[in-house]
Amino acid sequence: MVIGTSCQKELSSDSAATAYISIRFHPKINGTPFRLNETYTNSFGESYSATIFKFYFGQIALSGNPQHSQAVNGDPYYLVDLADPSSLEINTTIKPGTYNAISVLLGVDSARNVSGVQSGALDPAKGMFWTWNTGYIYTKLEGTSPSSTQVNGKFEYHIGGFRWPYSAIRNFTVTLTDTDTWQLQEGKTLELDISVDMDAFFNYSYPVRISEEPVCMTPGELAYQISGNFAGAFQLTQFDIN
Amino acid sequence: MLVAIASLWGSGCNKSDDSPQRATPLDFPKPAGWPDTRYDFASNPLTKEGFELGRKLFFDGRLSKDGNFPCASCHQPFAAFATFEHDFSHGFNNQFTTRNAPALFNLAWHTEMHHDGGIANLDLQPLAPLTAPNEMAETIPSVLEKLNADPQYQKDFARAFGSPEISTSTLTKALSQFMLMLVSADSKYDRVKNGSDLFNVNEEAGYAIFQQKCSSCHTEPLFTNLAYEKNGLPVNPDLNDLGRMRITGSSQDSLRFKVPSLRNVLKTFPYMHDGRFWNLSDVYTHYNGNGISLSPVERSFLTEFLRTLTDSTFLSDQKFSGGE
Repeated sequence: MVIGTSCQKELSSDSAATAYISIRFHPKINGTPFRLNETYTNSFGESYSATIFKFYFGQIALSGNPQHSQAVNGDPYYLVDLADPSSLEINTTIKPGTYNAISVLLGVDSARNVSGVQSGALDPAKGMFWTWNTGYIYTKLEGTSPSSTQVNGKFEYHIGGFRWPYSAIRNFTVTLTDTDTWQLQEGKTLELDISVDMDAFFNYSYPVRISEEPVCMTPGELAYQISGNFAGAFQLTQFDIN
Repeated sequence: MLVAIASLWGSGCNKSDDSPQRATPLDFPKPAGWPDTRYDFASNPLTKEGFELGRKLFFDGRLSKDGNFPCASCHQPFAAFATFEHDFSHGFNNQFTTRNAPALFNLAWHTEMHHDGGIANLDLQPLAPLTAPNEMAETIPSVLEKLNADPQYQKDFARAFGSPEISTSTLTKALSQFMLMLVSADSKYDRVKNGSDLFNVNEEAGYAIFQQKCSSCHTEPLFTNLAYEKNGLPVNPDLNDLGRMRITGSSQDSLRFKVPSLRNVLKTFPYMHDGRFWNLSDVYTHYNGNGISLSPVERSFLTEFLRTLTDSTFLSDQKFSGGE
C-alpha cells in the first residue's frame, strides 16, 4: 500500500474532486443524421456523397462566474471520424464548479502544429498532417459529386493552416443565457449534445460550390473561409447534468 | 524471488533512471565560437544508441515503398548528403523530384527545412520525403508496421528510447539524432580560423572578395543567413516553383528560397533550388548579371577560397556512412 502511493505521485490532491464531461457530436443534414456514402444535396442544388469526414477538436474548457475557467484535465485533442462511431462521443474529467459557458477549439493550436512529432490523436500517422508544409489538417471532407470537375467527380476539402492571415483555427463557444448555470458537483457528468450541420460546411459565411471549388489541399484563403463555415456548423442542442 | 520483486518495484517507480540498458549520452560537438544551436535537444537527448539507430534508419530502404529509396539514396555522404551530380533526384517508380536535394549538415542551427522552409521542425522533416509519391512513396503506418515487425529494430528502439514499440515520434527522433550529428566544421577554412593552418595568397584574396560580395547572405560560420532571398533567378515555367510563397501565400515571398550553406560547395553541384547551374562558373555568370560584379580574376580567387570550405573529414567520416 505504501509502495503503491509512492509510485503514483502524479495523482496529487487535485484529482480528489472530479466531475465529468461527456460530449456527443451529431453530424446532421436537414435534421437527419449525416452518413458516409449516402447522397445528399447542398444548398446550391449539387448532389454529393461523402467518403471521409474527420475533424480535430480539443482544449475543452468550461468557464463561469466569477470569471474563472477550467480546462479539462490533460488538455488533450480528439480526432472525430464519422467512420468510427465511437469517436463521436468523448468523455473526460473536469473540476467541479458552477459554469455558464463552454468553449472548444476546432483544429489544433499553433504551438502543437510546429513543435515536433506529437503522439496520440495528433500522431501524424493518422493522416491528418501536411508533411510538406508543416501543419495539421483540422477537418477533412472527401467524396464524389457529379458537379465536380475533377477526375471521377472527386471533391477533397482538407482544411487547416495556422499562419497569419489565414489561420483556420476556430473556436466553438456557447454561453448560457441570463442566469442559467451548470452546477457541476463532484461525481456528476455534464452531458452535451452538439449537432454539426453539414449544410453549413458548404454555405454559412462563404458559399462553397463543388462545381467551382472542388478541391482545397493547402492552407490559405479558401481553407480559412471553409473553416468559418465549419465553425458555423456547430450548435449545442441539448445539455443535462446527471 | 524476493530479489526479483524488489527490482520490479524499482523499475516501476523509476522507469527512466533504472532501465538496465540505459542509453549512453552523447555530447553534441558544437564548434567553438559558433552561435547557439536552435534544435530543442531537451526534447530529444542525444545518445549513442539513438544516433546509431538513426544512422541505420537513414540507410534502410525499407523506409520506402519498394525498398529502393532509403534517405541516403538522395542524401549521399560523399556529396555532403546532397545527391551527387544530379539536378533532381530519383524516386519511386522512375520519378524525379522537383527540387535539388539539399546537402545535410549543421542542421542543429536550422529551424525550418526545405528550400521553402515549409517544414517547421527537424523531427517533422523525414515525413515529407517518406510520404511523397515521387520520393519514398510510403505511408507512416506502413513504415511503422514494417519496422515493428523486425525484432532487431524493436531491440534497437528499446535500447535508444526505453520501449520496443516504434512510433512516429521515436522513428523521427532517431533520424533527427543522426542528422544532428552531421556537423561539418573541419575544413581548411575552419583550421585557418582556429589558427592551425594558413590560407595561401590566392585563398586569402578569395576570402576578401567573399566577405565583400557574398557574406551578407552566406554568413559565417554557417555560410548561410538561413533567410529566404530572391537572387534574380527567373521562374522555370515547367516547374512554376514560387519558393517561399508556396508556404506563406504572400506575394512578397514569390521566388524567395532559403539560402544554402556554402560549406562543401564544391561537392554539392549542381546548384540552386532546381539544380539549374551545373558548376560555379554558371553561378558566377548569373550573379555577375544580377548586381554582384565578378571579374574573371575575382572568380578564380573566389573558387580557391570556396575550395577551403570542403570538409574532407566530414565527407569521409565512417561514423556517418551506412557500412552495410
